[in-house]
Amino acid sequence: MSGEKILIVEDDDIIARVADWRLKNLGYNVCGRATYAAEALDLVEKHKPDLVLMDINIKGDIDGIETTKMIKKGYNIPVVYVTSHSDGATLERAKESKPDGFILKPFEDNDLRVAIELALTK
Amino acid sequence: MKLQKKSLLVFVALLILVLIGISVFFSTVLLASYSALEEQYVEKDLDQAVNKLNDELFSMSSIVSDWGPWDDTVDFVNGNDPNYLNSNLQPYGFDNLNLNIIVITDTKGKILFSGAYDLQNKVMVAVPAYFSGPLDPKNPLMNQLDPHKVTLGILMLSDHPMLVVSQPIVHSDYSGPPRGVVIMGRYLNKEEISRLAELTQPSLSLTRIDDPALSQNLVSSIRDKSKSAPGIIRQLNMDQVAGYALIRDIYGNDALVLEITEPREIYRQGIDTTVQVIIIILSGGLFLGLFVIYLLDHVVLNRMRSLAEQVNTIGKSGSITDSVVIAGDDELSGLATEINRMLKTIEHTQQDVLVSEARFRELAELLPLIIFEMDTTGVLTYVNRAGVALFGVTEQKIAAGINIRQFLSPDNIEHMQRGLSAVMSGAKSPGEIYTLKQPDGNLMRAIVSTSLIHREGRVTGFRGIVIDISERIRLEEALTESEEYLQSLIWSIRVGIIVIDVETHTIIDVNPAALEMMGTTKDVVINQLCHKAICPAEVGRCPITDLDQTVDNAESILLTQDCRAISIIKYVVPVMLHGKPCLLETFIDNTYRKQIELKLAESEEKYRALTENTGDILFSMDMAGIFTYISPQVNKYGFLAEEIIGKTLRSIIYPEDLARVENDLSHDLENGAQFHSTFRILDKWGHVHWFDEKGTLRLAQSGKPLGIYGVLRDDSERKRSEETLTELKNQYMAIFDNTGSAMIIIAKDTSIVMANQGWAGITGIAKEAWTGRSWTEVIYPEDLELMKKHHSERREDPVNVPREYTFRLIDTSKNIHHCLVSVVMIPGTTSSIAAIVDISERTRAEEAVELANKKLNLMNNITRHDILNTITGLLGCVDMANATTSQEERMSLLRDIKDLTRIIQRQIAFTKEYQEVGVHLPLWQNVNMVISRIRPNFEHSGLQIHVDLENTEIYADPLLEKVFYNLVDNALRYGETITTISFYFLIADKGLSVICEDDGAGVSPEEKTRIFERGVGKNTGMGLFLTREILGITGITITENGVYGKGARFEIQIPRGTFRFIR
Repeated sequence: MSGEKILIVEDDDIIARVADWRLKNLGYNVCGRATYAAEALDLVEKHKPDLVLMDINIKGDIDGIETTKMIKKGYNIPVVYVTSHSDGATLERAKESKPDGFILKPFEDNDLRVAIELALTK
Repeated sequence: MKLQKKSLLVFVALLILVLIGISVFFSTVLLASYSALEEQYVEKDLDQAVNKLNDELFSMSSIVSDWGPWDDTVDFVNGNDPNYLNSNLQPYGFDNLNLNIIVITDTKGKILFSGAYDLQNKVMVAVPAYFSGPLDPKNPLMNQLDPHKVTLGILMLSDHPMLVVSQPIVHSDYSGPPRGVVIMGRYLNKEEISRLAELTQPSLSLTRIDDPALSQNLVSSIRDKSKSAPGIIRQLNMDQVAGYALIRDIYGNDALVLEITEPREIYRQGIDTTVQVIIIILSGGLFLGLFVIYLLDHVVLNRMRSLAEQVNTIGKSGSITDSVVIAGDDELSGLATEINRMLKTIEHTQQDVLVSEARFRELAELLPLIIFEMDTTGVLTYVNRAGVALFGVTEQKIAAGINIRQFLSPDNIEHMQRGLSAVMSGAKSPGEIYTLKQPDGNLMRAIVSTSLIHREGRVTGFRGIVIDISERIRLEEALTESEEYLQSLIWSIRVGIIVIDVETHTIIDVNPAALEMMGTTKDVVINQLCHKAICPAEVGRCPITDLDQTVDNAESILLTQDCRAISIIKYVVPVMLHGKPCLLETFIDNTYRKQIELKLAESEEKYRALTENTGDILFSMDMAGIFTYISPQVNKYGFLAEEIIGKTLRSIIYPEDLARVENDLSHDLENGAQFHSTFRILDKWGHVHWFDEKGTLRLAQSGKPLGIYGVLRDDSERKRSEETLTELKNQYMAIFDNTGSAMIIIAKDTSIVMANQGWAGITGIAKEAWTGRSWTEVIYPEDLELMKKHHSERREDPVNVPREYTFRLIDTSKNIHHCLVSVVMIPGTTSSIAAIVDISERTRAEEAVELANKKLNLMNNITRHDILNTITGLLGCVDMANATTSQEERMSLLRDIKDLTRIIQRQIAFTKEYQEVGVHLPLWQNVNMVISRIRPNFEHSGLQIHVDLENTEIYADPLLEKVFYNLVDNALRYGETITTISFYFLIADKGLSVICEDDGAGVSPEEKTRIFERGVGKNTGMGLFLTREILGITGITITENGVYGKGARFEIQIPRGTFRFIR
C-alpha cells in the first residue's frame, strides 16, 4: 500500500461514506466519489485513479457494468465491483466486462484490502 | 291534248299572267307615285297651318309695336299719364284688337296694368294667374335688350294655350331706356282654332303635348322627323290622311301638336286610273288573243287535224294501201306526200314479214318442243301448239295477259331472272334447267333456252324453247338412288362380302365389314389369292370351282391378317359381274355367338347356384297374387315350397300388416312395374319375422302383365339393429347435450354439424344457429391458423395430430375464453367430435401464480440487496464508532446505526406484506364492497369519498382492498388541500377503467411515473409500488394522469375478461 488513488462509484451515501473511511484507514488515497456513470468518467479523466471501486447498481440509465466497460476501454484502469447481487444473470453480465475483482456486501476492511491488492498486482 | 285546246289554254294562261303583272306594276309603281303626291300636298297644307299660327303672332306683334314704343305708355309707366288706362284700355279696346290679355310692367316685371277680356261674351274677366303677380325679369316676355324686337310665341297657360307678344316700352322714337314691357295675348281656345281652321283647311286641331290621350309614339315620330321636315304624314284609312307638326312655346319647350286631316282624293284618283288602265289592256289583249287563235285554227290546226284523222283512220283500219290528201302547196301538203311514200314502204315490208312469220309459225306448230315468246317483263306473247297442249296457254289467255312466272316454281324465278339478265347482256343462253308447273299440278323438269327478240333495233322480248327432260331426270335420280342404296347397304352391313375372280381366284372387291373381320386394309387384300388371304383350302381344291360343292350357311374358318382363324358362317354364290364370272362370298362372324352360348351356360349355372344358396326367398306369382314358384329357402321357416305354391301372398302375411301391404302394392302397381313392401310373417312355430319384399312386374311380349317376380328378404335382424341404433342415438344425444362441457361435431369443411348447449353457453350463440356455421368464426385470430392446420391434418393422419390442446375463443361480448379442446375423428367419416372446456379462470389463476412467483423472486433479490446494502453501512458505522475518539461523532454514528436498523426493520416488514401478493388465487371482487370495507379507516379524516361504480366486479388478487386503501391514504398524505375523492368507471375499447380522482394538490409531471417505483415517496416509499404489483397479478395496470395543481387522477385499466357487471 503506497497511497494508490482510488475512485469510489457508489450512489448510496452511507455505503460511500463507509467505503471512504475504510479505504483511508487502509492507506489508500480516495481521489473522489461518483454517483452515476457520466460523473465517474469525468473523475477518471480528471484524476486518472489507480483503481475504481464500482457499485453495479448506481443512479441513472447506465449501470455500473456498462460504466466499467467504458473505463476499461478508454483508460485500462482496474475496476473492482462492490455488489450485493448474487443472482447468476447479473454476475454473468458483470464477468463479460472483465473486472479485476469482486467485493460482496457487506464488506469489512480485509475484504477491501485483499480485493484491491489483487487487482493492483494483476 | 289537241293542239287547238292546248293553244287556247296557253293563251288564257298568258293573258292571266299579263294581267297579274300589269296589276302589280300599277299597284306598286302608279299608286306609290299617287301616294307620294298626296304626301306632298298634305305636307304643304301642314306647313300652311303652322305658318298661319305664325301669321297670327306676326299680326299681334304689329299691334304690340304700336303700344310699346309710344310716349303715352312711357308716361303711364312713369306715372305721368293718369288717364292712359281710361283712354286706351277699355273693354272695347280689347274687342277691337281681338285680344284676351293686355299687361304692362315696369322694367323689373312689376305689373302696372293687367286686364283680361272674354271675346265671346264681351266682358272683362279675371286675369290668368300667370299674370297676377310680378313677372320674373328672366321671363322671355320681359326681354328689353332691343326696343325694336318683339318677343312672340305661345304661352301654355293652365286652361288654354295662348298666343303672346311683348315689346319694350320706350319713347315713340325708340329713344331712352326701356321702362318696362307691354304684353298682349290671345287664347288658342276652341273658337280661335275653329277660326284658324276656316282660314286653312276644314280640319285643324291643337293638342297639348301633355294630353294623356296623345300617342307617345306619335310624339316621338314627330320629334324625330322635326329635324328634317315640318312634320309627319299618316294615312289614317282609305279615306283620310293626316299631318302632324310640333309647336314650341316661348321657352322653347314642346307645347302643342298641330294636326290637320284631309280626304284622300288624290289616292282615290290613282286607284280609279289604275283600274281603267287594266280594263283597257285586258280588252285589248282579249281581242288580240281571240284573233290569233282564230287565225291559227283556220290556217294550221284544222288542216293538221284533217291530216291526223286520215293517218289515224289508216292506222286503225290497217289499210296501208290508202293515202292521205291535204289541199294546198305548203309544208303540210308536203308532209302528206311524205306520209303516203312511207305507207307504201310499210306495205312492202309488211308483206315480207307476213311470209316470214307464216313460215316460222308453221315450223313452230309442228315441233314437239314448246316454243314461246314473251316481252321483257315475262308476259307471254306467243306459245306454239305443244305449249298449248302441255300448259293450256291458249290465245285467249295470252290476250288476257299471262306471265311466264306462273309456270315456274317459286325457287326458280330468281334463277330465271338471272338467266334472262345474262341473255340481255349479250350472253348466249346455255339452256337452263327449270321446274315448271303444269295446269294439272304436275311438275315438269325442262331445259329452257332463250334468245332476244329485236324489233326496230331494240329488244322487245325473249323467244325460247322448252325441252321436257322430266323422264330423263327421274331415271337418272332413280339410278343414282339405287346405286347409293346398294352401296350403303354393302358398306354398312355387318356381313363380310368379298368378290373373287373365278378365273384367277384373286380378290377383286371387299367391303369394310370383311376387312374389319380380317384385320387388314383393302389395298392389302385386293388382287391377293383367296386361298392365301381368306380360305384355308389349298390351291386347286376350291370347294366351289374345283370340288363343285355349295357353301350355304356353313360354318367355316376365316384367316385373318395376324394368322388367326376365326369362326364364321359363310355363303358363296357364283355371279356374273361386268361380264366376268365371280364368286360372291358373304360371311358373318360367329365368334360372338359362340361366346354368348358359353356365357349363357355359365349364367344358368350361376343362377342355379344363387337361387339355391342365397338366404333370400325367390318367388313368382300370377296377377291374382297366387304363388306359382317359391325357392326352397322357405323351408327355414317350417314351410314346404309345395305347401306355399298355389296359395296367395295375403294368406301368409301378418294380419295387422295386410291392409298396409295391399295399399302399398296397389299404389306401386299404378305407378310402375316395381313393388316394394315390408311386412311380418309368422313361421310354423309362431315366431314373427320381418320380411322386405321387392317385386318386378313380369310382362308378355305384347306388354300384357303376366305376374310378379320377387324376392323376400328376412329383415328381422336389421329391424332389431335399427331399434337398437335409435335407442343408442337417443342415449348419445342425451350425453352430448348434458356432458357438462361444450361439444361440437365438425364436418370436413370446418362447418359445425351439431353443437350442444355448452358450446352455445361459451360462444353466446344459440346451438341451433351453429348448424352450418364454421367454428373458425369465434377463434382468437392468433390461434386460428394452427387450429385450421390441426383440423386439416387430423383428417389425413389423425395419429400425429395432437388430440388435446388449448386455444382462445372470443364470445359475442368480445370476452376471450381460454379453452381446452379434445378432438377425435368419428370412425368411418371425415367428421370429428370436439369437447371443449372453458379453462379461462384456471389459466388466469396459473398466470397469476406464475407472475406472483416471478415478482416474489425479484422482490427477494431486491430486498436482499437493500438489506445487504444497509448492513454494509451499518457495519461500517459500527467500526467507525469504535474507532472514533470523538464522543460527538460516536453519538452521531450511533444515531445512524439506529436509523439503518429501522430501515432494515421496514424492509423486512415490507417483505411480509409483499409476500402475500399472488400467494392466494385471484378472486372476483365487488369493487363497491371493497371500498366500503376501507371507508371506516378514514371516517375521521374529514375526506368525502364518492363512489359510483354500479355493481362492478373485477378479477384481482385478494389484496385488492390494499390497493384502494393505499390510494385513499396517499391522497390524504400528499393531497394537501384535498377535500373529496371520487371513484367512478369508464368503458373503453380495451376494457374498463376505474378512476380514482381527488381535488388535492396533484402529482407533478416529473413524478407521474416515478411514484410507482419502490422507495419513492415521503413515507415508506412502498405504497404505490405495492399497489401496482397487486394489480399486475391479473394484468391490471395503473397510471396517474391528473392535472398538477388541480388534483390527482389514478386510472386503473382492467382488460376484458377480468371485469363484469352483476345485474
